[in-house]
Amino acid sequence: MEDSRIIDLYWARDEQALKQTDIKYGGYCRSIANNILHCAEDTEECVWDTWLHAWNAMPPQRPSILSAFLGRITRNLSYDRYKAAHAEKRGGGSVPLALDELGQCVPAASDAYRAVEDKELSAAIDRFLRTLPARECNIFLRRYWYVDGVTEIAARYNMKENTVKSVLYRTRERLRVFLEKEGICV
Amino acid sequence: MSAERIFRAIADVGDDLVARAENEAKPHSSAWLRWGALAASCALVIGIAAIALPHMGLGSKMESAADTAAQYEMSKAAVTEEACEEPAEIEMPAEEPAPELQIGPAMAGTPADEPAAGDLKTEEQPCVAEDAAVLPLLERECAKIVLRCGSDASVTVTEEAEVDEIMQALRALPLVHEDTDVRAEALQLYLYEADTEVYYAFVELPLLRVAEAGQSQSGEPAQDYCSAEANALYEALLGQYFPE
Repeated sequence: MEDSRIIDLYWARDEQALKQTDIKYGGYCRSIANNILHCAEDTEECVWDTWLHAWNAMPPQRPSILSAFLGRITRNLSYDRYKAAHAEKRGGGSVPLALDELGQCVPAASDAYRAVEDKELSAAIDRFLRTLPARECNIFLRRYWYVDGVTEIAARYNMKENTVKSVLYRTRERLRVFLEKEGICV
Repeated sequence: MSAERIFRAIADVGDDLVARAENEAKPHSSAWLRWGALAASCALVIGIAAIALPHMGLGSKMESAADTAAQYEMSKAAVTEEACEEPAEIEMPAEEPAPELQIGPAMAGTPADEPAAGDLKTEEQPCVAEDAAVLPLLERECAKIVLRCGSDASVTVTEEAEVDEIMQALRALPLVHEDTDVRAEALQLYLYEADTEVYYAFVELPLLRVAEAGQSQSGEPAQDYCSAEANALYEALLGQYFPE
């Protein structure tokens, strides 16, 4: 079923919307959740929470790209659940590694005041990603949006793992420099 | 938790970027694309040669009026014939640079003399891939430098002063972006210290299309492919920095 029809079902408050969403995007959202949680039970709960959030969000929202809309909800819910379940930063799975890697992007401390809102930070990262070649942008998002492992990314793009690591390293450096130039302190 | 803040902020980047990262088709080995590009490039070269070579003899090396007239008559006759006949008899002016296909010996030992990346043409040109022109060794090591062929071009140096020399040599390579075939002009070098003696430099190269064939030193099959000219220049560069 097309996304527009699924969204119409949400707007019509037809519970078929949830069934169709699960059919079309259940695997997609479960993949995102599992990358973060690595637990089948928690993954399933997150996915069903995603459908609930989507039901509450539409209307009034009418997302242009339903997959990204649902994936974002799943990602945020999964990370919240992950944080609640893990007191320490280091643990299993890709999230602590991803967080460690992203620490490289944090600009050097400066005397400037911390005035940036999270929304502005997202906007800055969005602008940065649009300056990248498509492949590098996709690899970055697969790692830090979808929280794919390096092995999975290498397999996806038919690349060597070292190449993926190299691309990620360079992109993180670029992001750090970009945020510094934008005057953004994190 | 600054890294966490960035992690959360990444969630709100544009939906179109997120969707593209999900929907991008996996690249696959497409031999027909390489052979098609090779055939198209050969046709282009033949077409250019057919048009340009007959005119190369005009106005070159005129030592006397008689020679001038004789050469002119010969050139006129050559132009009226089929363009591809006997191109070897037509003299090419020494000062006129050949197109970017000139490779190999000019590079060996004199990387500093090669044109800078900025001199390379910026218009899109197809990168010709020839499976036969594969580096026999994709990786060599010596005490100073490790240079790997391919998009994972990491360079290890023991002295920071060597970086400029290496970057000069790398900038002379005809690097093209993997997706667009646009020649790379800007090379960035990220340098950090891995231990007390060694610096690891990640060369900011665009993703190349590198040759698919041959074996690396470790015995693992190469997964990328190179253009013939990139192969030759890599070989010359390796020969300079890693004498056998």
